[in-house]
Amino acid sequence: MEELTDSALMKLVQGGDSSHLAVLFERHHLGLFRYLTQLSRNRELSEDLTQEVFFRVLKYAGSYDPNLPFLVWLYRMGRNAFFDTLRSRSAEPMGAETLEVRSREPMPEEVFSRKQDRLWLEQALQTLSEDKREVLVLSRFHDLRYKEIAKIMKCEVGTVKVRVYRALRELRERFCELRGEKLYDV
Amino acid sequence: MTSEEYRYLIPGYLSGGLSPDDRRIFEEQLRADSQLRRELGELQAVWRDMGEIEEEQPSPFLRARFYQKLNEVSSREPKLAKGGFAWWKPGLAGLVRQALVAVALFALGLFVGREKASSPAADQMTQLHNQVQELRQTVALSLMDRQSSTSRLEGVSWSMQVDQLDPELRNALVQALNHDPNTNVRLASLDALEKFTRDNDVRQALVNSIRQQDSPLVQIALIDSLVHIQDRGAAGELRKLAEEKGLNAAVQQRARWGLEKLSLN
Repeated sequence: MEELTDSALMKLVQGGDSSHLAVLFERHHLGLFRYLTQLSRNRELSEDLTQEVFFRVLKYAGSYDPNLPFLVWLYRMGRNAFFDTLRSRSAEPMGAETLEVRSREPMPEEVFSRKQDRLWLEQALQTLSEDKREVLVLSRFHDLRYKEIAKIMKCEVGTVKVRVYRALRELRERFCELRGEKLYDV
Repeated sequence: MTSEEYRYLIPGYLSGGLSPDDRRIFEEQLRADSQLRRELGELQAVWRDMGEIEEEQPSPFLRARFYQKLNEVSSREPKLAKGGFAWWKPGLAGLVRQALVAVALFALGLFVGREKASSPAADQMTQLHNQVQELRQTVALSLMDRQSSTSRLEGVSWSMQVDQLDPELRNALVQALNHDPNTNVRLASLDALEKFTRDNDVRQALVNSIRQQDSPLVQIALIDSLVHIQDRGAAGELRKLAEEKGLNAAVQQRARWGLEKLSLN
């Protein structure tokens, strides 16, 4: 069975067949949700925004440019929706429902250390500034090229390249601090 | 290129995103620059460990709410008038609301009555809670039996609000997952069942369901669910999917991914 590309599906959505939005939702809602979760650190808000973004896709389908990868358009829309919410909620603390560090059940000693490292790394990632965390998350978890990330973040490719490196390096520093390790000067 | 500029290439090198030319230049520098080698090693470890960070899962409500709204948009059903007592007007939603208000009033009466009879408050709260649970289940079952897919979706949404899955509701959800003519209802049923995967019967029903599905969307969603709940018993079914000739390519790819995830964790 031949699979329709995202752009082909968007063409059908543009033609008024909203049922094809379901296929796009199935393909991308998890990625978008995780991106928004990393941005907002708020699961409930990320779910609301994920749904909202897909209906924005429907609403603004007419303005979709097939030359732009759908994923870039979607994530850009997600980013805008997040910052809109941030602005409208500026009086409220965003961290009110922040993600909790997952509770850990007792585990065998041999896997404890690795799990602990993973936990520290997760915490270190959360301590990065929003722009650093975002660029790193897009690059590491979403398999996006710098060119695509630059389009989402509306900046130059060179800027993305530098930001990803600096974010990764800072992540390592924070991680080592949490583990109580001394860093070399590079 | 300055030594700092070589460092900017590290993440691209780690992700495999460098152009062949940049990769060659970087590897040449790597052979000559011990500091760059050391930094690459350090950042490589962090990059690799990032891949092991547990990724957040949305709640089952996300998918159910999305499909419910999409159904509303697609069917272009006239919306209930706003304002006044619009929520009380005839129609399915109105009926459900009326039933809810009736039971809520009954439960409130019961609660107040028993409060006066000085029964222990905790018992009353438990009873009230149980009644609300039963109500939710009744509404869910009733709506899932309707002709309209929008109502059935609404029924599945109600089923997500129960704390414990009664066998009747479980069977209705499994039935909907396997046989509902509407893909959206099948997907929402899957999300509802995923909340109860501590129940072995539910886990087994999810595994058995893979073969019964003709929609790649539902098959992929099932694979994702089984991976999410780490059901190693699903490996056999996933292997069959991965090897089946003529199956949808995306499903096969997802099945291979699922097998890999189940064997890694």
